[in-house]
Amino acid sequence: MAIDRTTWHCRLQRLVRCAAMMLPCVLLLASSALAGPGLHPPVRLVDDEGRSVVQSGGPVSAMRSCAECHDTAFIAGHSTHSPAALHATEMNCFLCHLQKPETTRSPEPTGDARRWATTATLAKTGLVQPTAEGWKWNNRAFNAEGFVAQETLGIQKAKSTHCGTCHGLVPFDAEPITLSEALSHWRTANTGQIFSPQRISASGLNLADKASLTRPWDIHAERLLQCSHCHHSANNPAYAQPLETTQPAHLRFDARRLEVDQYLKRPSHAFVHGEGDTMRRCNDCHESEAAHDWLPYQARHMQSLSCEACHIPEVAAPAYQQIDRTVLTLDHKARIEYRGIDGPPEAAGSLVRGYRPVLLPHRESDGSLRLLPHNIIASWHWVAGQPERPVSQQELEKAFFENGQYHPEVLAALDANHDGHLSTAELALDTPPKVQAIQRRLASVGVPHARIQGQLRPRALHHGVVGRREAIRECRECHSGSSPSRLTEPFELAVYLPGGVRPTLADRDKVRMLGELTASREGRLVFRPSTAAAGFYVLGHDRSRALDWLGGLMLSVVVVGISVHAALRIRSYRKETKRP
Amino acid sequence: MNRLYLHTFYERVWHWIQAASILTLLVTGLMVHFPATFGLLSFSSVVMLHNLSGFVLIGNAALALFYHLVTGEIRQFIPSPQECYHRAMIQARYYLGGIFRGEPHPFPRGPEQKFSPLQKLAYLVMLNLLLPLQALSGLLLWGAQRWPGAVDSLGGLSMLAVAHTAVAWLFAAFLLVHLYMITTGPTPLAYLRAMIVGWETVEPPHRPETLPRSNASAGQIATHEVGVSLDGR
Repeated sequence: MAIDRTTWHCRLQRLVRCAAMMLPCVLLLASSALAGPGLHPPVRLVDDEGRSVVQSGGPVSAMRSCAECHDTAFIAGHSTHSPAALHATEMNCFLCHLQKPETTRSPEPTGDARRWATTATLAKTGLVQPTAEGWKWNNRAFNAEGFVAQETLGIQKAKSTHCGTCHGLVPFDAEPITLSEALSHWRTANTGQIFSPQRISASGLNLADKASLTRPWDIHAERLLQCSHCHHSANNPAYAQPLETTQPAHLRFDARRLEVDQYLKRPSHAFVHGEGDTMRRCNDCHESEAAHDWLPYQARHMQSLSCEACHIPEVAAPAYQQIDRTVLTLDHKARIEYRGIDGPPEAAGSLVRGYRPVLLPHRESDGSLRLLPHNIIASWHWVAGQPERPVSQQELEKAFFENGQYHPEVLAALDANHDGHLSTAELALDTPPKVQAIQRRLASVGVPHARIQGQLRPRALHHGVVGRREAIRECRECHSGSSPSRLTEPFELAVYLPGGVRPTLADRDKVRMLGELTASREGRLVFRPSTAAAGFYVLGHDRSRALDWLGGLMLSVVVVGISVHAALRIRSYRKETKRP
Repeated sequence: MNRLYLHTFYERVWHWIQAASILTLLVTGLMVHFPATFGLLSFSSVVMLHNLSGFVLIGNAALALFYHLVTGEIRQFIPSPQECYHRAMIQARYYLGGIFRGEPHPFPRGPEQKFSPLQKLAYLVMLNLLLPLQALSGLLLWGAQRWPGAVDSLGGLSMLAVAHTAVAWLFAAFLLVHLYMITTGPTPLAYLRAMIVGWETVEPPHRPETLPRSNASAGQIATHEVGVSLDGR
């Protein structure tokens, strides 16, 4: 049978045409498979010399790898995050821009470990693994040119949970928040602030009246705001607005701003915050006048009170109260007392009551003085020498311990019940003999004439915001002369005074701690703020006691005088009527 | 006793509006000053009521000033030089002694002399000093957020509030004395009735008083000055 050459040729042509049509699709599918979901293209991971890490086997350089598309020099020069603070030699983009960065912090790495800090962030991606010989790259995860698929690397924009790695507890998942989790973040432990949409009653904390705490930890988190919505990039075209000082007077809105591609190439990492007037404050989003039409003398209130004063009425989680670095626990840590919890945090039965923050006058960026809620942390430490310098942790450990246990002299001075152990309550230098004993120990390890210093550090609260239902609306919360008025209710600073030393305010620039510091007989230190001393006058709360006494006395004299006069008149009238 | 029409309709209206507003101001002021002790109403309601009463008092006082100036009745409130001391002393001695002995009032009231010397002095101080001071301090307290500069120039809210409170105590003392003194008429309710209906039963007119002799006793001076002897002639 002869071959029909015409039919065969047509079929071949059709096949070639189909293949030609399909090839772009195949290529597109192939690149899509490499790119994965999202806009970010595959990334070639290189070391600090620009060589593929697969070839060199060395640590990855985020600055070089990301520089293919982003101006990393610009980013590093416009950043509020110091590499040194992150134990790295360069800015580590992966810490905030991976879906699953490895954020476990080891003790401060040195030497070679520091070089591999950025690489260690990729541990959860499967691209690199720790071995006995050090970090090893998984070559199978890279293509021949050293590119990594987007879905493997998981590049994304930074989310609030990334910020929470360092800046406090910011959980956005459904896993109940636990107390140990909260207190493990030093920022959260400083204030008790938790930025999460989770209902407080759904958390894993042992809270007093837990069933009634149906509000979220923070209302902004519940309403789907991320950290970057307020703490945005300084040149983000969606958020950044020109300062009033630089905006031309004839323009209401300046449309000249970065295009998206320009911003993506050079995104400033100088995120706006409370310093200066760059950060978006409450009034930049909220129409406070309309929302507070029920409030009398609204402008007067807004002049004197920060929004947080009423919208952070209490903190549900515990926070640091007192950090005593004049003593060391058996695990070489300072003794810490918490406010807002009955009992030690590590005990399962300890009841978390939360606390009401103290309102302190705070100098705002516009120069005004407003009452802002704070937690105040009292801390004590040893200082020595001329010029004065803090006694180091190593020196203190030498003084306190011998062969892993407390030094006999320390035990003799502090072990009140002579059981050979030092309980938390016994770890307190609350008498002169105890102080002298530790001073002798410090002198014996080469630190003579050590003395105790105390500091008070107010920590401002800006998160843990409540909505209008839970915010303070009752006037008498503040406009009340009897305690506890919200403005002047006593705020306990310490359960004991190490060395009998009263702490002094560390930060005097923005916060004013005006009021009375009193030490009770039990040794507790309590601060009672004074609004009058801070220049505020609160109707119904502030008054001149002397004037009230004088006024009352005057009224009393008048009443007595009237009574006597009236009695005499009645008596004389009766005499007149009886007279025949 | 004579029955005279002493208080016009407007005077009575003015008086009672002033009385009600001052009483409301004192009560609400007490509730603002001691909110924990006197917390019958909400704090914001009390402040609002206090402000409202204050404006009523100011408006009422302004209209009254206009009335008294136009009608010439303002002279009833202005004490003469003699009234400022000598006649005031005579009246004071009456209240401290003569009233217990049933003596007649040294300065009977009439259409030309509605107020006694002590009354004139009291009203002079109250209406021309205390009331304007209280109104001004109250206005500035109310308008503290409108006129912050003016408030700050006078020492701020703390100074204004202290001044306002001090005058309030004086007003409270005046009110107590005033409420008692209205019982010193021919009958305990005579003056009150007169301020309601306008008609008052007054004592017959006396001879004009003269200045006291320095070496005479108080009793003889009183008799000589009012022209009435102790035996009623």
